[in-house]
Amino acid sequence: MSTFKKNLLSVLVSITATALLMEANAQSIAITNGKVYTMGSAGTLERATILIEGNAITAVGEDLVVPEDAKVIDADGQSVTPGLMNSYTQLALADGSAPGNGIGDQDYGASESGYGAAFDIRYGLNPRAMIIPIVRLHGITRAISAPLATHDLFAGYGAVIHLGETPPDMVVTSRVALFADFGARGAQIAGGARDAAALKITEAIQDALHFDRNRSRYERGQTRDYSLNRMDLEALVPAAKGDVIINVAANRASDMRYLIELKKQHGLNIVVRDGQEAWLMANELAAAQIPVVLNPGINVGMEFSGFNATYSNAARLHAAGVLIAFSNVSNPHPSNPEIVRQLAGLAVAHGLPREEALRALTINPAKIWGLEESYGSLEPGKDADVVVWNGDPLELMSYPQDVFIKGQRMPDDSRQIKLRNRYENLPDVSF
Amino acid sequence: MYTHTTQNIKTVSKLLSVTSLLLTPLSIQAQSDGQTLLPYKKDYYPSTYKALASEPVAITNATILDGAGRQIDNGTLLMEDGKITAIGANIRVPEGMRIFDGTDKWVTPGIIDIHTHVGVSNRQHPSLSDGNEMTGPIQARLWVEHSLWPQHPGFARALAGGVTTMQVLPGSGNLIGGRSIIIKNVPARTMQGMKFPDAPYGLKMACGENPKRAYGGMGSAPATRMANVAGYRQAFIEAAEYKRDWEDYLVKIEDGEDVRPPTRDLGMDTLAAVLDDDIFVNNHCYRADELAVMMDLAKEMGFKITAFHHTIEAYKVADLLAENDVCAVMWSDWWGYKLEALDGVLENIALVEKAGACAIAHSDSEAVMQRMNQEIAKAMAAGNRIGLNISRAEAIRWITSNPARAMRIDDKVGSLEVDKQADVVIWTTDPFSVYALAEHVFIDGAHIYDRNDPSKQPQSDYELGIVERGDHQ
Repeated sequence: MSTFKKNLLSVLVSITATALLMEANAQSIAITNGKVYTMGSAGTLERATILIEGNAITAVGEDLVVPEDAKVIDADGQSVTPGLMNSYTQLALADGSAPGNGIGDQDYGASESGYGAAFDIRYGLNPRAMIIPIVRLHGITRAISAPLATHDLFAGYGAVIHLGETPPDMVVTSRVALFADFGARGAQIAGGARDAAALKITEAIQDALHFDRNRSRYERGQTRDYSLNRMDLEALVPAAKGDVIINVAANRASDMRYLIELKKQHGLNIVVRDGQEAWLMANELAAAQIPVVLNPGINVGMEFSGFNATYSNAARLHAAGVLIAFSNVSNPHPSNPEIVRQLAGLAVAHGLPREEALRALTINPAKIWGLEESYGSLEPGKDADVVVWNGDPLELMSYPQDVFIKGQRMPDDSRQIKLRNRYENLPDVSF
Repeated sequence: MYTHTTQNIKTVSKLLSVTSLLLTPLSIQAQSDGQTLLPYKKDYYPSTYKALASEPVAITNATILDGAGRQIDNGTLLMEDGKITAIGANIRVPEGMRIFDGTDKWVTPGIIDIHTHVGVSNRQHPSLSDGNEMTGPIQARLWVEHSLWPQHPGFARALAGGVTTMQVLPGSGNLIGGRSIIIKNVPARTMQGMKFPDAPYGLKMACGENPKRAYGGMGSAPATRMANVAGYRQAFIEAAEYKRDWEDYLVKIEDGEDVRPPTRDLGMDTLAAVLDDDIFVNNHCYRADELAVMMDLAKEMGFKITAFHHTIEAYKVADLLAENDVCAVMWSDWWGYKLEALDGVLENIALVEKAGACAIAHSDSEAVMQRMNQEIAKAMAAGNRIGLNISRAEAIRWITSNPARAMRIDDKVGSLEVDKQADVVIWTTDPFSVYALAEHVFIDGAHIYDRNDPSKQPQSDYELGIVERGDHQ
């Protein structure tokens, strides 16, 4: 063992000891002997132990001392990763699996409300949504839950949520980003053309900044007319100042050029969503330090905006140095949020290094969404979102043996599992 | 009452060859050819498909899943003149064959997708949305092949995913949506150029939410599931009368009577052919209770439902499906996008297989169609997780021989057996891995796709000059 590792180990052990003292009542958990994809500076450890105390990881290393009272999960022959994150969903905002399904509550958008940027999904989130246990049993422990643009280029604010069993506290970061549309959809919303969308965006930003500088005059009715209502102006201010991410959907390569210019002109903090042709602008996006949240499973550009959609979008963006994260943004095939793991595997089949695909589901979204302190890698001090897989974490036939969210092991149960149990032994059905 | 006129002779001669009638005893004619000369039995838009040029090919040292339930390790597959000529573990390769070394590679039959709308439906382009005629719930008169646009890029993408045969269906907005078409997945200028020779037509029917929502929303029937069922029953009652009218007519012709043929009705043509079991029924139907109603309805009306599609709740009535010999066409894990799809379970396909019913995986999607091997891998894994012990050799049937059987082309494709059409995929690795890609695809023995050679990756007119060949990968 290298000196560095020994030193690291002793640090880790001392952190463990401290944590034990701090949380003497909580049973610690040791996941031992697994192949650990830390996603942190330690890289991948072939045979390592992870210690969990309370809701946090306290140590990760190859020769850790397992506390006597720890509950041990032997992960021999298995893989361990951080809980995965889907970087764009409408999870917990609808009762079904996807938006637009007409099932029960649908709190991801309000086309008749008149609100745009001000819309915030936080009170629409339902931690008891039936889909949550189903998705987390696929190893997804975090997600962006975002509003859908209906009538305004700015759909409103989304949140980072965790999929654990702690209702009503599923929000990790409220107002994590303002969600917007450019590209073909933005053009449509803006009245028919991209340039109308660009004008509306510029006007909205200028109005928000002007409003922010002239609040008292605004209250006295002494400002010029604004293009947005008071709530939308207020909500747009932090995004217009570059303090909050604007996550913009766009597909065409030329849309990327616009977003790069927009970022430069106004100092905005832009993250691209979809980006089917982003690879054609990979170097420019990398230089502009604009991350891309993409669906690696799209390669039919039946929308003229995405003609050059390709399965190697992720690989080409990564090669150019663009920070990428994955989602299953639903064009052209609507699918469920858990599919994002399969899509990551598809990106690997088309040239993305395997560990990079895992990063795009863990540490990269942590970086993009500002979660690095608490999530994204298996490192001491982070929330214990940990998944033990029975094989390669990206393989189709692998599945999670154990899913921990904030240190809690998730029960092996969901509505899906109950349905299957009920009908597994036909014709015996017990209602 | 009918009287003899020149006009009527012309009508009859269009229908039945007068000369052949004169040269052959009438009774024999009616029995042998008369049936096939019923107007609703004819293919008026016949296939012009011709197999592409091929050379004799030997794939050696490969792991072969033959689609008929066998896995052959270190296997060899020979094809010549468009047909499979040998398959097995100890096959001598004749001289003069082009050899594809299959070491570390896997071989399967060409994938068959029983449910697509490629070429007829597109969400992004209203001008290309030609699969759902939402102007009346009974559209048996429609033939989807009259909408089929061979330049849709989805065909070539599916080929890169190993799909060699597909059934293109009308949409599900109508109770009866029209005839399907089965095609060979080759680039072609015309629909006829892709049409699978000697394959039957299918019929698309739809249960549940879609028809009732579409028409109920417009204030017309059907607005409820009971009106859906009334709609099918009424249509088949009329079809039975139509069929009887034509059969009566044939008998009268046979007896030498000079009678006027019944009035043609395109929709009734198709439904009569269903009653004769010349056209197989594809019934979009989700809920277990509706599946049971439809199986009874088919008995009542005297036709057979070959396959239920999108059968999210198949696992609840897998025993009934087995008993009635109806296939269930399913996804591995797509569910919850509407209320009738809420009860999806990951073990659906595996549980149907276990019940002894015919299990089929489908795409209904240009994206999923390119990775159907992955879909069955997920479904198999879910089944094995609860101890169903399904092998790869069994699971591959869900996208090969089982759909071939449902589509009534299992004498031609769907398994790697001697004398069958040489529709074959060579995979870079185990096709049940997410990292596997179709490397070579053969259709009727012709090497039509090569992942490493963009010039062997067909490209539609639609993308020509806009997208670099091969860039979609």
